[in-house]
Amino acid sequence: MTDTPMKKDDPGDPRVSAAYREMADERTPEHLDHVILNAARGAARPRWNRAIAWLRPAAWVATIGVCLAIVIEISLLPDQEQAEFDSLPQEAAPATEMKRLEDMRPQSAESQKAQRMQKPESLQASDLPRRSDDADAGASADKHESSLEEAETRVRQRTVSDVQSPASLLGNAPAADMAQEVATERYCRESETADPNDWLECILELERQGLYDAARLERELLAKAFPPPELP
Amino acid sequence: MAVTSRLLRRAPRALSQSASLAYAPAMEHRPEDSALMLRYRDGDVAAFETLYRRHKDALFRYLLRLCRQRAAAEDVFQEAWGKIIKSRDNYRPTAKFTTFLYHVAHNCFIDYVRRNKRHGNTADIEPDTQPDGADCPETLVEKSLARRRLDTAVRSLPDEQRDVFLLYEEAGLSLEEIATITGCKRETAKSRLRYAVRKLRAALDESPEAP
Repeated sequence: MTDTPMKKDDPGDPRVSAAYREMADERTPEHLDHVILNAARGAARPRWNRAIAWLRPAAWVATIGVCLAIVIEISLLPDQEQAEFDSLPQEAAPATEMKRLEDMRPQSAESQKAQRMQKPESLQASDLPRRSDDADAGASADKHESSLEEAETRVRQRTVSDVQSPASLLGNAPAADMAQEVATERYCRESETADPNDWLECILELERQGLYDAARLERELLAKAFPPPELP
Repeated sequence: MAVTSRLLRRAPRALSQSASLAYAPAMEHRPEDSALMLRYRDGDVAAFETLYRRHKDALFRYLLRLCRQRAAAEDVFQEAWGKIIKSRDNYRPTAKFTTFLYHVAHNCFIDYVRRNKRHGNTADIEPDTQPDGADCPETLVEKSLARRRLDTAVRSLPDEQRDVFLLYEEAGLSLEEIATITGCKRETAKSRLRYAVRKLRAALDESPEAP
């Protein structure tokens, strides 16, 4: 300012300015430089620290959220598979049905043998009607074993047909037709359906085996074939 | 002959360059001061260091002569820069950074005076009377006495006149800017500066033998 030419109304005096400049040569103490520059650095740092302070919890929340999402996804996955499986037409289930049959077949045979073995001989000798019942039960068990074999054969055939036509799993038109065909398929033999008691026994056996849909179907057919008598 | 004439031609420029180095803040208006402050606002500490080194000595001298006590000047100096640092987020380059800086320093000095009501004339700063060693002893003694007389005259100025004179000399501010900082009219600032300069000129013209 004082080196620039003086303005007309500038009350400054170049001689005074020069003398003052010569006199005033004090410098800032170094310790003040350190203090102020450190303060400036420290003041500039917290802005980033504040960002980090927000960033760290945000990272934790994001991590926890992702973990929860994965856990929920994993926990819901079997249910979704089950729902998808249930939504499939019935011909898609034979693999499971076959497995169930295989699981239940030795179990039922073994349980019946065990029941037979558990019966005391005194009761076998004295209780003839019951013996005849046992004989009937054994006959019915044999009958059900044969029905199971037939069901297994049918399931295998359906499984082979599914493998040969994977498009049926996609729910397109041939699959729907096959589903309808399977829905009208019979699970009890004609010899069983001739007698309502045998038919009912077959239905109960199907329910015991877990084939509730088949049992329901057979029960509906039974109700149609042998309507309940009207009460007076 | 040619060398001499070249030296003569370079001498004034060299003198002005040396003067502008020592009194750089008072000489030039640097628009990059505001840019440096804006860069510091965005976290660039190096920009603040540049800004600080550019203005620190002039501001310290201003406060040293305003407070007339080195410890007080250091406190006010530190407080002023602290406020500059704190206010970086709200800084807007609406005016020269020098005006902003000296306004803050002036306000800090006012606060200091209010805190210390017994702000008296207990000056503890001594002008540098050590000889340079380049001049002859008579010249050195004369310069030393002149500096002492000027320093005494500056210290004996009324606070308002000293404030205006220091803002004019150290900060290189215009009368309008000085009036803005000191909170008075331009004509008042001009009058105070004129009185201050007249007293200092009289002190310089004063003969060494005078009592």
